[in-house]
Amino acid sequence: MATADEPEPILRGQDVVREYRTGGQTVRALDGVDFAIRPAEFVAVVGPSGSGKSTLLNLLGLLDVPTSGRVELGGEDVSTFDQGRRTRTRKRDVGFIFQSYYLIPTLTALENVEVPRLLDRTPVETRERATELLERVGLGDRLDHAPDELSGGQKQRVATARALINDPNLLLADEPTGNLDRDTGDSILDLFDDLRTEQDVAVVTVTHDEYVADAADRVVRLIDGEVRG
Amino acid sequence: MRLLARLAGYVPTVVLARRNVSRASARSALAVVAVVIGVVAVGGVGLGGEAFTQNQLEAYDGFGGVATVSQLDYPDDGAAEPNGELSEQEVGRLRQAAGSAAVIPVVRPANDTVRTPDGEALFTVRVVSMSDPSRFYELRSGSFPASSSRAVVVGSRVAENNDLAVGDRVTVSTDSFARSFRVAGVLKGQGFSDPLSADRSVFVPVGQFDDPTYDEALVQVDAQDGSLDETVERVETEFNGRDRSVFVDRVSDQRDQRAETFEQINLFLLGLGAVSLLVAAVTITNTMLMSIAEREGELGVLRAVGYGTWAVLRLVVVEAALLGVAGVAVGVPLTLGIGAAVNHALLGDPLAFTATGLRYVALGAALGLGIAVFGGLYPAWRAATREPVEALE
Amino acid sequence: MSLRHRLGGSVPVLVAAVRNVSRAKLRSALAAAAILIGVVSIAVVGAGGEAFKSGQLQRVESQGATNVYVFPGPDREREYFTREDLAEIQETVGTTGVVATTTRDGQWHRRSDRSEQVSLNYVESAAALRAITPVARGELPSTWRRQAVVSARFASDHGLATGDRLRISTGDESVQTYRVVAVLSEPTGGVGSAEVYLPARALDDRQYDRARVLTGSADEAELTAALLREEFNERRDRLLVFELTSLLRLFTQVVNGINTFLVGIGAISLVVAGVAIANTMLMAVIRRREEIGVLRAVGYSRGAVVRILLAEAGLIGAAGATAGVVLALPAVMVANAAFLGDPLAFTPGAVGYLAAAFAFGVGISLLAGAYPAWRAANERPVDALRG
Repeated sequence: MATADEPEPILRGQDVVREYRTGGQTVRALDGVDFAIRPAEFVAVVGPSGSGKSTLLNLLGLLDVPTSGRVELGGEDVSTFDQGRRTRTRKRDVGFIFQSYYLIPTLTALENVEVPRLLDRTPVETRERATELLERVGLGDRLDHAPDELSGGQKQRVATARALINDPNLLLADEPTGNLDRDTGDSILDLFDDLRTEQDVAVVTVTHDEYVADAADRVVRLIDGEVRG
Repeated sequence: MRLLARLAGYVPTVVLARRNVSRASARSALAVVAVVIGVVAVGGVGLGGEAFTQNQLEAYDGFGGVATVSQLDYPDDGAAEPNGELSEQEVGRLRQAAGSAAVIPVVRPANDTVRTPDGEALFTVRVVSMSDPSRFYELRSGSFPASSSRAVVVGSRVAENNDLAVGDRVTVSTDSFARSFRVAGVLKGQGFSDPLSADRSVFVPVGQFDDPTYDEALVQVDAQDGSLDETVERVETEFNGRDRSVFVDRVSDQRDQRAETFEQINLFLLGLGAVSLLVAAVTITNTMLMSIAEREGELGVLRAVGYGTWAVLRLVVVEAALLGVAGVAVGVPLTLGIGAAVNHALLGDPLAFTATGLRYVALGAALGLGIAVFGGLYPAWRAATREPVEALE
Repeated sequence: MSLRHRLGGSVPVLVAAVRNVSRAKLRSALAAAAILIGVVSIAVVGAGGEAFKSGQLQRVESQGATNVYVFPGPDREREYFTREDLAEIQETVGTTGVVATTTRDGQWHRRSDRSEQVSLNYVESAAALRAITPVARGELPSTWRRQAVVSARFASDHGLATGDRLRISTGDESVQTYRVVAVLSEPTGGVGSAEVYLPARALDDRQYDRARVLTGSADEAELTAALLREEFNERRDRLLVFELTSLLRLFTQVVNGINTFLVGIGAISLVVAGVAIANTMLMAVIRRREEIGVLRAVGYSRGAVVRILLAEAGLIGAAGATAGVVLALPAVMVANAAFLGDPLAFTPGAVGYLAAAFAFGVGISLLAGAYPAWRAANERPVDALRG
């Protein structure tokens, strides 16, 4: 997949297999997948449900390790990382946007954005950064609103701001436009473009939405745990 | 940014925990109630027990620097005719040995009976005679009679149980006389620990006995004049040289023994009260388990965005600890209130807290907090070790 | 239709409760554990205290609670009983045995130059002595003249055995020599025990300072005492009558009071357990809001919903209480063995405490379940289903 003049990939996978045991039988969710994610790339992963999209996203986000095969980060095999190192790497390099946002209902929009850096004991810097991010996603007037006072699109943008607070190299988004109208979806995609051009952030999204797939640099089609086409 | 918010930024775990606790207010409130009851049970039992102990030990207040000297029933030499009495000569030796200390011989006449004006015999009442009982006891009413007068002072229980008051008459009969006496005074209650059992005694003036035989003697040392230990030493040397012939007992030793017994009883009761804290721990565990089950997704997100196992563990434990803190914050004032009521009832002073009593309250508070943290450990461990991938499914 | 299914169908509320409780196993188990701890603490303290009380009562009874002790009263002209007085007492109590004794202080002349004080008890006959104290070693003579019986304590303290001689004097009388023929068994505590027992015929005056009426039970003793008081003390106190029954009653009262206090402190933990149950049930009804809404929508009455939820709370309580009683049993058996000598000697009082602990455990669970159940049942099905 890679050619010589392209930049080094952030994340590379070779013959990645992920198996689960459920109810006494083994399910192979990913069956020998190769991938490489380069800076500023926008990759859309599409495929029917159960095709292994979520498993791939978990592997990319270092939430999971492959059963066999290799996932490399900066040339190192992530399966050699211990739990703590994986957690630290995740915090430093990866931003997650979950399909159902998972905002913490007891915290305001601003505080939700701060959550990943809350334990760093740098409240002033964190607050500045979070405010800046919320302003950037157009929620500068919603800082102190609780999640249940926000619309779906607003929650999505809070979740996006949260994913960006640690300046990740890689942004993983699960159905980023799933519950949104076209205009709101567009604004999210615009934000992704800005991040790529300004900060070389790579964006990987799992989606059913052909509109998102069309906007991507590259589309990976997963069927039954294998890459097709 | 406000100062408070800024400060809060430095304890992010506590801030997160506090909000989570207040999310399920009914559940959290019930868990807090459980801790409150436990804290009050331990602290209240401790304070109550202490107040009771102090109440009982007050009887010893007048007996500072006092030792009792009584004849051994069977002296080792066996040659002397032991009769359980101190002879005049022995009292004389005692006075000599005691030096500047006061020696107060006590008469407990045999075959003593006290009767009320309508002839009812009071079988549980003992007759005692000693010079100057005012040295040791205070009166609730009336006055101490002169040594030669035909008047007695009665103990509080004697007066209460038989409706005796100053001015009533009682008949006292002993080996040497049977006479009618006027009740000149009623003593204050002393409690059952009093060395002379004054509550159940009738004090007859020594002058009523023509030829008193002494059953024991009290040796009282004024702290300014000398030490009780030295006096006791001299008495021991005088009487218990080659053979032991008298038994010398410091009243303070008796008091210490009593105090120790009370302490042990109190500890037992505390243990029983602490069972409720154990149950509170179970309640906390349950509450926290419910809480983490409800927030599985959120906790998964925290792990995904870079919170380590330790951070999540801490978050949940701090939540449990907050329940404990709230329980203690309500429980301790409540305990002190109950303690003040008990103090008022038993000691007459609501603020008569002792260091030991307050230590029990602190113990209750520490246990309350401790069990809350302990109760939170398992749920916290479960939440922290849950794979984020599974939690987010 | 299987038998199980049929049986279950006849108690649908219970079946539903079992199913729901086992749905949140850990939560229910913890709530039951809370009840368990409370029940154990009440049962062990209560039943253990009962065993202690019974043990003490048995000891006191064995030391003469079936006896009535009679002394010359303050209104008698003489301070002793004569044989006529004893006959009068015997007449009053009927066929019940009366043993008259005299206690004196005597001098035991161990050597010619040395004597010791001993407590003496003069008893009418060997049969009378046997009636008031058991004999451990030796034989009581049929005609009792110059023989002495000593307490076990006295024998062991002074190394006396049967066959030894005792030279004893009282008051101004001359020294008499007695041969030790028997040693009493311990314990010989209780009223009127002495170190040396001698025949009453050795007394010159035959004056008795006390009498003991031997009845069959503590209750009989109380009746006899009442009879004697009525007969002799109507206007004047000719007799002092003591029976241990009133003392026993006082003791029982005190121990019961202490026990109730201790059980009360133990019961605090059960109140906390009630809080745990309330919490669990509150959680359950919040989680099953829609489900309960459906039940209401398909025609379950509010009462039915309350019953289902109360059955759940009761079930958790019953499980905890049962386990608690089972766990408490060994502890109570240890107390039984310690105080009563038999692990299985459950007194009615102890069984009562076990039952009360169980009932209190279940009762508090039902009480704690009442509010969550009421809350769930009173929600309008429409609201519950809207979410």
